[in-house]
Amino acid sequence: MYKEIISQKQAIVLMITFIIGSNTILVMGGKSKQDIWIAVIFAIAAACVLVAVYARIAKLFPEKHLFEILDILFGKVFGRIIVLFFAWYLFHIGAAIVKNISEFIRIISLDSTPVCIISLMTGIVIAYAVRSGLEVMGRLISIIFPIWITGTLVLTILSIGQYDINRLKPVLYEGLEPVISDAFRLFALPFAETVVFLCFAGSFQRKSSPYKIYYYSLLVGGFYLAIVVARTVMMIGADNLSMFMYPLYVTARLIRVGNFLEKIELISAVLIISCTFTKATVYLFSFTKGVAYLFNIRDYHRIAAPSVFLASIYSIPLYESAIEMIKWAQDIFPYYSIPFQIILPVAVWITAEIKLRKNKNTTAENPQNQAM
Amino acid sequence: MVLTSSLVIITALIIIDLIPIYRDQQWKAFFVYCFFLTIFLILAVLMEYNVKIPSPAEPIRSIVSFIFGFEQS
Amino acid sequence: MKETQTTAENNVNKSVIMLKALKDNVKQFKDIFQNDDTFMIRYFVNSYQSQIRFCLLYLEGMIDAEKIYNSIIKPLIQTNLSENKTTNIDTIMNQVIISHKVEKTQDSDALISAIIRGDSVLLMENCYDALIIASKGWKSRSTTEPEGEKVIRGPREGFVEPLMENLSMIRRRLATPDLKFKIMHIGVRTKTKLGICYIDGIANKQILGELLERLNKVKIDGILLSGSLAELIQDAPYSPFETIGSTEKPDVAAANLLEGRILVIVDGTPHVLVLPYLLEQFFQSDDDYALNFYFSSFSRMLRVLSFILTVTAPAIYVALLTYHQEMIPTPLLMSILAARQGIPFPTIVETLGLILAFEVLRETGIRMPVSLATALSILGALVLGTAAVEARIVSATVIIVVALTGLTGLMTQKLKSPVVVIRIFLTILAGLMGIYGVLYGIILVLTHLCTIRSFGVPYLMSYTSLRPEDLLDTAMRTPIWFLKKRPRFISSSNKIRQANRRGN
Repeated sequence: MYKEIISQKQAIVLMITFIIGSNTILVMGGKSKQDIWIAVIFAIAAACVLVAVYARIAKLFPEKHLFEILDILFGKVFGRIIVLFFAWYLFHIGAAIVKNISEFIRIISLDSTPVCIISLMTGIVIAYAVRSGLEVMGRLISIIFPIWITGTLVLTILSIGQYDINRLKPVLYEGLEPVISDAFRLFALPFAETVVFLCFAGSFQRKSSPYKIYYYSLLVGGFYLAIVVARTVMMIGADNLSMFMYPLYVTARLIRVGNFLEKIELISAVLIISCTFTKATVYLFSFTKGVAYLFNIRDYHRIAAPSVFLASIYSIPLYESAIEMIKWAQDIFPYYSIPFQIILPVAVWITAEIKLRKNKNTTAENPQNQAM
Repeated sequence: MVLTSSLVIITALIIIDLIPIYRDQQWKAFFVYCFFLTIFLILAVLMEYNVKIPSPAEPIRSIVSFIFGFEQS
Repeated sequence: MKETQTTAENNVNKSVIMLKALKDNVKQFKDIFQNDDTFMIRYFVNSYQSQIRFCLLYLEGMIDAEKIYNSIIKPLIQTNLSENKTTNIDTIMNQVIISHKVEKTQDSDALISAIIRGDSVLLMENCYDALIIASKGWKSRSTTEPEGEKVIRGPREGFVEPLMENLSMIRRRLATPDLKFKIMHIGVRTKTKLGICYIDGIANKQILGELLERLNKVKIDGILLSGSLAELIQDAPYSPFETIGSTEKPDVAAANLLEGRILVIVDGTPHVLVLPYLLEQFFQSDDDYALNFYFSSFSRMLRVLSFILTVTAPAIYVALLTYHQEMIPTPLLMSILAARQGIPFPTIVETLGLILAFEVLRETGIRMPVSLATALSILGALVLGTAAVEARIVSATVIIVVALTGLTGLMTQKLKSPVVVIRIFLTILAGLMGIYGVLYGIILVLTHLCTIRSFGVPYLMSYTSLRPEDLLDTAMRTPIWFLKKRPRFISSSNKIRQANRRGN
């Protein structure tokens, strides 16, 4: 079969967008209040360690995706059981992001439209992207990203007049503990989620370095998030942060330049959605790949559409309301993801290192070694 | 509403995707496709008649609370 | 499928078996061209040797009478052919006939198609061979400035219908032996001549191979237009976007050849096919390279912007007015609502109806005789515009939006089929889901554009590669000395276009 390849630049851009993707949920007031930007930086620091493991796995098995790696390391049966659980995780989170998008749209403007219409429409868009394959997604993101970055920069610059640095004070008033607790949440939510990229790390261009991809996007995306969070706090204050459902959207409403440029929150909404859409696409793409692997289907494009539509319709009963979902994402998600984000990759990494070392010691021409 | 739009989507999918798969005799893909579409249809029917569909959110919450032992309402 | 094709071919190819007697041969040709009154048979003998009889076959109207008279009949009658038996068809071919192209053959297909194409066939008594002598001659249109690709500053020459003249126009501009022309025939019945034209060493061999393969797969009774050939061989056949371009200007064709693209010239169509063709080329114009680059960059961006505007303007209007009224500045909203007062239709119906009305006007404008133009403008402007607003059937704002849409749409004429489709698609989505529908629609269209390839080259290549150097000649038009390399993927090995920074 024709092998899909995305270039290093495209992979980086895809990952940056992915990291920024859930900023609607993310920019929420936590326990750390005005110190949330410090929590983001802590989270980046913690993620740097974990991401090293991800990149190492991608480096050890070039041109292999996570499911094949699991097969090689843990055998056919056990490997497949893990893939099954992982696919469930991907499906669940993918559906949750679809829910996130549709609830966001419904709450901020289309309150009379049935939520199923919005979910299924979102499903159509994602299904088309997933069905077209990874290369198309890479191209799509590299055309959306420049537009998106320009839009965000313009919004940030326009809102400079609203910043009040005093809202960031006092720094660390309540000590480090709430900051650490928020950092753990932020670590799991956007940064450690990059584990999903292992599902198609085999499609990175041969000469590209997974370390470069992971660290570049982690730092750029992470610091962008830190800035966004700080910006939001500076504009509306830490107390309001937990009052509004979508603070990031609210900040755009405050932007006012002279008398002619106002009410541009719609642009902000469009930017937010195109990012979240990318995230959902990446998740559901990986899910489709997992399903295709489970059933030994060579051509994953063929089953892309029903997988995505299944996720998009299942997103409707997934949570009762947006508030419940956001609460779930904040409280439960970090723990729920531990097996998939930390335990599984670390186990894969350790097993791989041991196996590789063994192979090197015993025979140079071990078929297993060649396969890697 | 759910059922109508789902039926539209299912019809479109069968014409665009499923028939070519059938023609190419990709049986594994064909059955997975049909399986997913059936679940999709069942979900749509249940939602149309306001049947409550179990969400994984609650069980996962209780499992996580049980393992990590923290008290969440 | 296959059988019907072969029988169709059999019907066409009635064959001739060349015999010794002149009379028999002529009779066979007569059978083939029976009921065709333009088929001419001209018997004549040499004035010195009356036993050497000739017969000339041709189709009237396809030949140049002057040529036949001067280079065939006159020398054959007047030359003193020797009596001995050595006077055979070779002598005639080599010593008597004064023509630039003579071919000796027995092949019936070649003979018949030569007659059809306007050459004449010379038969001789007691001879199994026949001569095909070039004698084509017909009136063709003189070259004019193409209507579709007008320029302010640049050559005014345009392609014409006959293939060979078009080839010569290209050849005159590229004086290199690397410029190759490959002649093919396509269509079981029409046997249309195709010229595939490329520069050896610059054009990508893979693309050329792919093109030849696709052309060989075409089995059709006739190709009359280059557009229908393009539809048969292009990628993404169901897409509204065209992945094979066309041009009417020899200088544009030559420039495309220099970038490594391949041309397909179809006999009888002045529109030459250019491939691979990418989206950015719809926004490029011949003039861009002749005028100052600031101005060119500006007008190129204007074209891109107008394309975006013409596609999204009605959709955004519908979305804003239906779902997001709070986004419109209050004074503006007041005046829009005041204009909408008393209008019975919802915004979406109003907009779609007016878009349709505009398309009707446009189509009428193309099809009707020029003398009726005044009537059209009166009907369109007065009846549809003013009267409809005054009768409160449509609001004035919708007319402004649709007029803007139409005006910007005229700027990118070649993209009109995707524009019409996408505009209506986005407007319907906007009516369904507001600005998010528009966003979803745009993402769908972009995804679609990303899936398209033109002969293996991604359709949006320059926009999606994330390489700034790919944008030098696409999003803007940088000075010519910046464009050192040919576009990637399209040209094969010879990538460097110019060495020095500037000529001075």
